[in-house]
Amino acid sequence: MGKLASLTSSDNYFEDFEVGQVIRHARGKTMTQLENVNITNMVMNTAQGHFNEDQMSKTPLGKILCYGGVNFSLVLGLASQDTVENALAELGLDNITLKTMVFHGDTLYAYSKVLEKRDSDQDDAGIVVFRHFGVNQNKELVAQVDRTALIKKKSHWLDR
Amino acid sequence: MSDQSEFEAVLASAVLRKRGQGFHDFEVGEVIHHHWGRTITEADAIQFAHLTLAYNPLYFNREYAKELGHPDLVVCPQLVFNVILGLTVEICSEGLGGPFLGVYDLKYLEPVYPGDTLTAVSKTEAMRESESSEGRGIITWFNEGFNQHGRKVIEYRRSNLAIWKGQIGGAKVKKVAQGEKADG
Repeated sequence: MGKLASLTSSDNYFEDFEVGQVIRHARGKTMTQLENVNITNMVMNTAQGHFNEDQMSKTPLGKILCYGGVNFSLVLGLASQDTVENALAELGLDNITLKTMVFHGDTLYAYSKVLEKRDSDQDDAGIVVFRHFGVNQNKELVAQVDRTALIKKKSHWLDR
Repeated sequence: MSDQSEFEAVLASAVLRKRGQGFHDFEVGEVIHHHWGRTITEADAIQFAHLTLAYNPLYFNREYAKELGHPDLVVCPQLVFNVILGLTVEICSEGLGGPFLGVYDLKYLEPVYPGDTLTAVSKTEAMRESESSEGRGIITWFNEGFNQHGRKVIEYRRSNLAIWKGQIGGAKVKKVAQGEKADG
C-alpha cells in the first residue's frame, strides 16, 4: 500500500481541532427506503412501523416512520469525514436524543461542535469529544449525539 | 374443500400470534437474553459504512486497518450498535407502542471484525409511569452486546416510551437469567 497518510485528509488530526470550533458539513443525504428499510431489516429491528406501509397508512402518521437508529447513524456518518476520518477508534456515544420524526424523502444535514480535547494513554493519539446535530430540510433539529473518538496526532502519523 | 373456501376458512379462523411485550410485562432487575444472534459479514460492514457515509478507511479498507494494527477491516461501530439494539426490539420495544427516547453512556469496548457473531442481553433498570400523561410510561434498559468469545463489545442505556392504553403487547415471553431455573 502507498503512503498511509495520503489515504485521508491532512486537516482533521488531533492537533487540528479546537474546543468550541463549529463545523457545517458539506453533504446532505435524503432518507429513502434504501437507508431506512434496508438498514432496519439488516439489523433485525422487528418493529414493522419502520417497514409496513399498509399498517402505517392506517395510523395518524399515515406512512412509514424512519427508525431512529438509522437517523442518528446517518447524522454521525454525514459528520464523519470532517471529524473522525483520522480516528484510530470511536470510543463511545452519549446523550443521543431524537427530536423530530423522519420520513422517507426527508433530507438530513449535519453540524458539529468540538466539546472537549484531552490526552489519551498513548503518545500518538488524543481524545476529542464532538457534539453532532442532525437537521432536516426545514432546519428542524432531528437528532443530537455526542461522540468520543481517539484521533491520530499529526506528529506521529503524517509521515507514515 | 375447494381452494377458495379453504382460504376463506383460514382467514376467518386464524389466531393472531402476537409479538412484543407491554409495559406491565417488564420487571426491574430482570435479565433478558435475546433471540437469534447475528454474524456480521464483510458485506454488511461495508454496505452500512457506505450507506451512512461513515468515511474512515478503517471501515472499508482492509490494508489500511492492518497498518493500524487490526487483523481485518473494522466493523463500523454504529452497525454494532444497531445490530445489538435490533436484537432487543422484539421483546423490549416492538409491543410498547411508543418511540425510543434516548441512548446514554454508550461505550464501544472492543473492535468487531467481519465473521464475528454478536448476541444481546438487556437488564431492565428502571420503569416509571409518566407524570404528565396518563397511560404512558418510560422504561430504561442496560443493553450489552457480546462476541462469540463471550467478550463484551458494547454497552449502553436506552429508554423507550410505552403506551399501555389498548396495549398491543403479546404473550408473556419467558425471561430467564443464565443459571436460573427456567420455570422460576
